[in-house]
Amino acid sequence: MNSIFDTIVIGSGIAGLTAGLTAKVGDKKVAIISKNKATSSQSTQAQGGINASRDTASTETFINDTIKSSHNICDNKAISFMCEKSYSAITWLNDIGVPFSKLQDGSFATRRLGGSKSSRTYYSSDWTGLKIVQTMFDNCIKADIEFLEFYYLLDLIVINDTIKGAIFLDITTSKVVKIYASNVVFASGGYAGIYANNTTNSVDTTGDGVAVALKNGLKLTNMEFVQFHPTSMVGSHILISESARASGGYLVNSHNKRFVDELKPRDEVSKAIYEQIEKGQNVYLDMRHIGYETINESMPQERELALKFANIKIESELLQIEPSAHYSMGGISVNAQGKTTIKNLYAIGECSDTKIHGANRLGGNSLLECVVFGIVVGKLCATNEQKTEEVKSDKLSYNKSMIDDIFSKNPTTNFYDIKNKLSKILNKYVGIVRDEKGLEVAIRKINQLQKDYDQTTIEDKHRGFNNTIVKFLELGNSLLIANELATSALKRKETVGSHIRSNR
Amino acid sequence: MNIKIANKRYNIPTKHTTLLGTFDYIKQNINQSLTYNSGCKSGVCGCCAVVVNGVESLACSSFVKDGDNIEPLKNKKLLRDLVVEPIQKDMLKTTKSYLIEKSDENITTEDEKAIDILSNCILCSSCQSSCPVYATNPNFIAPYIYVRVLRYINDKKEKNKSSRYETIQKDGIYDCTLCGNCDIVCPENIPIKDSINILRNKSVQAGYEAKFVNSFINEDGFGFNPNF
Repeated sequence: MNSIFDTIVIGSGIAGLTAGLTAKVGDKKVAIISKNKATSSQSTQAQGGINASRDTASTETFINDTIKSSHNICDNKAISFMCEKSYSAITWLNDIGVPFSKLQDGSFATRRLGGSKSSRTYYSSDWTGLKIVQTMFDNCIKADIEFLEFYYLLDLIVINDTIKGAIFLDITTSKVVKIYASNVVFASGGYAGIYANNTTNSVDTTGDGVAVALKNGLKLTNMEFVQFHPTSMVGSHILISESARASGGYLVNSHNKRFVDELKPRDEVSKAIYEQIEKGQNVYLDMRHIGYETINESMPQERELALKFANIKIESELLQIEPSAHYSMGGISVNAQGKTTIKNLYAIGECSDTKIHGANRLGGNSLLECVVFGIVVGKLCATNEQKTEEVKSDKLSYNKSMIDDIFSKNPTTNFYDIKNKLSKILNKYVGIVRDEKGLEVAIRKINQLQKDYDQTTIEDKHRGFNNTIVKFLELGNSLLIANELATSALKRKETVGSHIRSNR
Repeated sequence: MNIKIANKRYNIPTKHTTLLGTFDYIKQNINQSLTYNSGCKSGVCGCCAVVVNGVESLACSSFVKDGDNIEPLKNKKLLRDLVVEPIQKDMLKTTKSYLIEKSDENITTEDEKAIDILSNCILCSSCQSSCPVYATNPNFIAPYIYVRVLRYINDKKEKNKSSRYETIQKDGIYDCTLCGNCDIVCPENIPIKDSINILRNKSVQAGYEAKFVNSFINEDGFGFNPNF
């Protein structure tokens, strides 16, 4: 494996693929590095679409909708920049081959998602994320971008506040390797997956990049803001996209009564559902009045998922839903150019906090953020003429002995028990509604779990392909993030957006 | 119930759960070394394809039953237990499975539909695992590649469609026996066999020789002769 690149991108979702494609100019060497298969990112699960506005007037409304949705916890300039670049992001995606859904006359089809004053979400049926990821992957193949798959981020190599590369675990061999680069981009995804037993996220969405950033002294901001998506299927926690409500779907309780305007922002709808469930009601998504044809046309995936995982035909039956942890608004603090405080180290997409989503992300803005800031950061990487050099760093030996320890120690407890306990604590005390006492209990319990974690290790000692150690290391990162999340939630005493404080 | 995974037998409580849920149960409670891959849990990331009783399936979307025998995908380098190597990118490159040059054509609903299902491939490799031609000829262009090639040939956005035909002649469209295994196992229900048939027709229309399958046996007496 080559270990010297101009740019390495950690994460192969839409943010990472965008940055990689943009950074790849001339003979620059670019690698996109992922802990799982290159096309398996969280982005593939994005169904609803990507927001954009075409003219000045509609951009103004878009900016206002985004600011309002964030509850003013935002950088207005970053939001304006993103919204102003939104339509060029759509045309860029369109030009590289993304098959957006079209109307008869050839113009782009759009849908209106919750919290939006107008219909501005562009989509590819309800497979938007998948189709964008696959198309971008094809473009990366065309551009000769190198994919390093099954590489897990362990650490950063930083000299004099400048990034020099990163340290990875090669999962296939269990060896610790160093990769040098003049530019390093975190595009490593969010942390809502740490609510493991109640999340719509992939098992891989464990906030690894955010945790490694924290361990390297970078600032994390807005960590308390985790969006609970209103409609995840009870049991499997598989997401039913907002496009269901955008197409006219109702939310009803056990008495078959509607109780909220379904097109309000996600934080408000999730809170309303939570209150119904607290009152002992079941909550259902009602699509029966929409009709099979429309459902099959614009939501084939929703229909299939409900049928496969809940054995429900949404055109004729009610589908039971509940809110589940879905998206993390906070993350690695960056400016509107994706820059961290370490030179030539960037963060984009869900792992970053670009101060766009604030207390509640607007549906359709996550993919837009990935593309707009992926391009910004990709360009910065492309124009950095610094030559990558090998540097001396004690990080390699430090991480090697950390991995050796995991293999040589004996387990004291099953680490999966710690993982399940963490998920329970987060869902109970750091869920949709939080209170001071509960958050204090959560922090104490997380600290105890951290101690248990530090004592134990893996049973699977195979020194070849080993993804058990990855699960173990992910748990270590999840514990760090959980502590940050609960601590930030305790500090913010007021109710705002997705962070609902009660005085119980 | 009893199930066999990667040649090991497990006795697990009977529960209506997905196969992936069963793997998780075993890894967390019985054998931490059991090695499998997973991601989205909802059939779009393409990580968890395995062979269940001889048929390729996504573990997240299949339900487990007594007596199941679960093996790794075939025709792929095995990394451990149920995990195989990621897809090989060189074949995507040589067949130009990407947009080469964008046209200025107006794209309508119908045009978009022509590539809708073809652009749903999740690169899970189930088709490659099920392919009897690939089993005997590792140079054979894997089934999912034809889907991508046709996706870009059918795409009105593509100006340069014809340069791909050359790349799928050798060890390609005429080596396929049209057995349809790939269609059966594709979790996205992509008509792969049809795609290959369409590519044959289009390739003839583009001036390439139509080769018909008249011999499956090469001089050694077995395998597929790519030069019949």
